[in-house]
Order: sequence, then C-alpha cells, then structure tokens
Amino acid sequence: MLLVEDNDDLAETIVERFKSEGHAIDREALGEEACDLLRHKEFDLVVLDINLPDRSGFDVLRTIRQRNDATPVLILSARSEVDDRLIGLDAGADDYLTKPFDFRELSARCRVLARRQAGDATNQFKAGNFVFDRLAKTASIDGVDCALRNREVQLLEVFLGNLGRVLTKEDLADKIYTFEEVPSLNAVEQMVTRLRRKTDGSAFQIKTVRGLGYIAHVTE
Amino acid sequence: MKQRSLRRRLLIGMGSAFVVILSIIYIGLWTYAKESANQSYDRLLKSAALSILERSFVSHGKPSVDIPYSAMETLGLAPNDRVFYRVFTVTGGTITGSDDLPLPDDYEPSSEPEFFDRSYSGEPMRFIVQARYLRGAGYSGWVVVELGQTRLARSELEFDLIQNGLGVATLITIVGLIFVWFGINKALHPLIGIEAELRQRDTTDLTPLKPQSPREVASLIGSINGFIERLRKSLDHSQTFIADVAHQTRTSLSTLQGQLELAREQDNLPEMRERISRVEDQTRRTIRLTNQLISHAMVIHRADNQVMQAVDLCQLAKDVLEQTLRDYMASKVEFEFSCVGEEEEDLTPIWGDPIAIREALRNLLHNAVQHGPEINHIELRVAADKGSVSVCVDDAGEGIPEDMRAAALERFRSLGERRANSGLGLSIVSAVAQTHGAELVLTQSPLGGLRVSMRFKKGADACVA
Repeated sequence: MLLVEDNDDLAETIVERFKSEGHAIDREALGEEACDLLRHKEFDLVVLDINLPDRSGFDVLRTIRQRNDATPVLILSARSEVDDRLIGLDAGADDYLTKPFDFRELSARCRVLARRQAGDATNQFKAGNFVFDRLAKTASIDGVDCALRNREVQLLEVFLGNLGRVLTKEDLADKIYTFEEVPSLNAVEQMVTRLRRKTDGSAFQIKTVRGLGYIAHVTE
Repeated sequence: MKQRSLRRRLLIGMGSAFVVILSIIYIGLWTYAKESANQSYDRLLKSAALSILERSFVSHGKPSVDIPYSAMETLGLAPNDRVFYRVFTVTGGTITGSDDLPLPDDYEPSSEPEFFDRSYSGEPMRFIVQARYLRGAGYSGWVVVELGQTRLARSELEFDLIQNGLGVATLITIVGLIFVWFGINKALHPLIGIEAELRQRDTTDLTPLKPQSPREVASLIGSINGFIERLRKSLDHSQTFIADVAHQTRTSLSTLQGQLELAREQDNLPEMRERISRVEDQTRRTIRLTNQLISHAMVIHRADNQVMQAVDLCQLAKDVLEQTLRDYMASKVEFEFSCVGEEEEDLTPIWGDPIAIREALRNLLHNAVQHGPEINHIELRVAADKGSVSVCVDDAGEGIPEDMRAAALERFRSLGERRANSGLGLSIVSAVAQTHGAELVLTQSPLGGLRVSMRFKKGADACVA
C-alpha cells in the first residue's frame, strides 16, 4: 500500500504500525511524487493526506481517478470544514478519516478497503470468522455453512457492497426484487431478520435504525 | 452612500429656502414698482391731456386747439423724457402734432382717459388718449388728444424701488443666514462633542459616554452606551472563553503528560499496560475537546459570515445520523429516526447554515450516546408544521434535572460524571440555535432521558445573526 503524508512523525508511526501488522507500505511526502509513482506501480490501497505541501490531496485523487485507476483511496484530513468529507467522497475517495484518529480504526478501515479490492479478485469476502464466497454463493461462520437461501445471499451481497451505509427497506427491495415482482416491505423486514439470525455470532452484523433502515458492518 | 456634513446639508437647505423667498419677493417688488411708477407718471400725462382738451374749441366751424404752456410744463417734470403729441378728430384727421402716433386697437373716442404701452420711433413709450365732445357753431364731434412719453423716468423710478426693496430683503437674508449658521452650530455642538470624545478614546476604553443635556442627543448617547455595553460583554465573553480554553487544554495535556511519565516509570508490564490504556483514554478526551473547540469556533465564525441557504432538515438529519452510526456501530445503542410533517407539504426547507446545523445535530447525538447508559435508545425526529420545522433528539439516559438545564447550555459545564465530555457540546448547539433564531428547549423525554428540541422557523426572515 501507499501512504502519502507530509508530516514525518505521523508517517513514521503509521508505517511502523502497518509494518508490524505485516503489510508492505511505501511512503511519499509530496503529491506530485505520489502521482508519478502511482502511474508506474499498482497498489492495493492508497492512504492520502489532504494538506500536502505541493498540491491538495483532492487534486491528487482526481488525477488518479481521471486515469481510470480504481485503486481504493482513504483520505486523511485535519481540516475543520465538515464539507471536506463530501468533497473527498465526490472526488472518488472510498473512505475518509479525520485527524486525530484511532490507529486501530485506521487499520480496520484499511483492511475493509483492501479486502474489498482483494475480494473482487478472489471472489471471497473474509472478516474475522466470517467468510462469504461470491462464486459459490455460500457464507460460513468458523467454517460452518450458514445455509442461506437465494434471496438471503442476494441481500448479503447488497449489504457487503454497502458496508457502513444506511440502506432503506425500499433500497433493499429495489435491489433484490425484479421489476415484475411486487416487493413487500414486510417481506424485506422478515428476510433481514432471518439473515441476521443466520449470521448471528459472526463478525458481520446488521444494525436496525428504526424509521430509516439498516446499516451493516463487520467487526474485527 | 456619500457622507455629507450635517451642517452643510442644513445650510444648503436653509439657503435654498432663502433663495426661493427672495425670488418671490423680487417678482412682487417688480410688479409693485412697475405699477407705482406708471401710476405716478400717468397722473402727469392725464393732467397734461386734460389741460390740452380744456383748450380745445370750435373756430370757424372747425375744431381747433391752443396747446397750453402749462401742459408742457407738467410733462417737463420728467426732464429726460421725450414727449410726442397729436390732437385729431375722428373724421377730419390730425389738427396738430405728429400724425403717425399709434392708437389702441378698435379705439372709440371717450371722455375717459385710456393708457397703453407701445413702441414708437424705436423706444418703448407710454401713451394716453382722451377725447372731448365739442359742440359749437358749425361743428360738433370728438376732439381727441394723444400724448406719448418715453419711459426713462418710469424705469428709473421702477429701478429705484426694486433696488431699495431688494437691498432690504438681501440684508434680512444675510442676517437670517447668520442666525441659521449660529443655530446649526449650537445644535450640532453636542454631536461634535461626542465625535471628539469617541475619537480620542483609547481602543480598550469601554466606559460609557457622559450623559449630555438635549433630549435628542441623550437618546443617541443612550444607544451608543448600549452598544458599548454589548461590545464590552462580548469581549468579556471571549476573554473568559479564551481563559476557559487555555485552562481546559492545558489541564488535559498536563494530565496526559503526567500519566505518560507514570507509565514510563512502571517496571511491571501489566501495570504499565494499565497506565497506557489510561493515557489512551486521556488522549481521546483531549482529542474530543480539541475537536469541539474547533467546531465551536467554526460555528461562531460562520455565524459572523452569514452563509445561509435553503436546508432540507430531513435529509440533513438523515446524513448526520448515518455518520454518527458509523462511530457507534459496535455499541448497543439503538437508533430511531422519523421525519413527518403535519401536512405533506409542510416539509419544506428552512433557511440556515447546513454545516452549523450538522455540527449541532452531531453534538446532540454524541452527547446522547456518551451520557447515556450502555444500552440506550436514541431517537432523532424531524417534525414540521405550517410555520416551523423542529428537530428533536431523545434518549433513554438519566437526563438532566430541571434546575440544571439552563446551566447545561453554558460553555464548559459538563454535568455528567464521565469526563469524556468537554462540556462544549450543548453550548455549540445553543450557539447554532441562536444564530438561526431557533427555539432551543431542554425537556424530560418520554424515553426517560433528556429531550433536546430545536425549532427552526420557516422563511428567510426567521434568521438573525
């Protein structure tokens, strides 16, 4: 992975942390150099600071995205404007963290992003004791198959594709049911309840927000 | 707007009034002078015409006239004027004098004198025509006398009258303007005094101005003093705030430093770990404090800069809740959301600063989580009616006793036992409510804990800042 951060102390801490977890990590202090490096080398993940001395992190991000480079990017910012988050996500960032942050949080987020990238390649989603095989359409906890039905697998796929995002029942119905079928929100509710029961005790969890919908996340 | 001196404005106003009055006086004077000059000299013409007519008679069956010397003498009272005369009959023509003197249109002979102005031999002249009916042997008919006189004496008299009148009027004007000048200076004197006093003031001097006597100025001084008082209070507030901030951050950092030192001195590994986890806690608290200080400063700064726009509170509340959820994903706190209008069309946007409102809501939600028990139920509700949109946050925690609610809105008033709270959260909410003219109410929630509701009025005029 690549870390683009101009503050040496913070960069050193992050690099050390990731190395101790067994990841290969490169560090660049300047946006321009990071852009060059990304042109020649592929990374699983880029952690990008917004306040760089030569050019804004948003700028770097846009340059990368213009090249059709889909490398996951996590943005770090210490700016007080709350809008940074939106600008970052608009510019094509996959996630966003505000300084100062918890290092455990940073590595957890990075793992999610890297996993997403790797998962797309290996067709496997792994989080703690939870494994989902996209090809075989099976989910297992500690190696024990969850015995999911078709619809539940579809539902799980939707949740895994939208971790940390609130999904309304309508969103879910739209994604699971075809146009001809008449989706009942009640049925969606029951399905979520079943999926939750079947994945109970795993790192994958679905939280209900009454009046709004569901939000899925994985614990480490 | 261009600033003009009050004195100049008053002077210009009064000056133009005087000019108008002078013009009216001049027109009146001119008419009057012309009339009186004409009247005086017309009398001369009339008496001359009469004395000529008296000396007209019929001789040998023909009208005849013997121009008396006295008539010429009368007219000689205007020494520089030239006189033309003509005596004629309506039928027989000129008896004596210049026969090309003009006559008024449609002249009918009459024993009443008739005056008219006409130009003759290149000069404006005043004419009189008067007739007498002669009855004698062999002739009876009108004998007409026409006298013309140049206007020199008349003009001179007219000019004299106008000059004298205008002289007096101008004198009065000048005296009047001098009075006005003194009056203005006298009236403006207290204002100039205030200006001088404010200018000479030291920037740190925020004592009220001395009261002064005129009623109008006294109320001005009252307003200025009110403003000075508000400024002083606001300065006091920011001074206290800076002092509070310094105190809080330094305390927090000192604690951190102390705990780190203690941790380093620990030989025993488990105890060192225990110390370090406390250091971590303390760091988290310091981070939260810093974030809130920045957020507070940002909210205040944005309020000063008026960045209002149409805000869909429903969508905004949803976004904030979604963000907050990510932070508390692993917790056992249950969240609930609703957004309803009394009528469907009541859910219209309000006028506000979305970033400030977002900060306020985020702080409310964080507060609800942090002050509540581990298993908590938090409700975020947006409710709209015709004139307003309310946002409420309810929690199932312990709440705040009624008598402490007002104090909870003040800065650095953390009421909870858990020191994770910096005491700034509610004061940020309060500042946002204030800049939006929103009503902020803390009540008992039906869920058991605290209910904080912010009621935003609709319409752009609802915002004050």
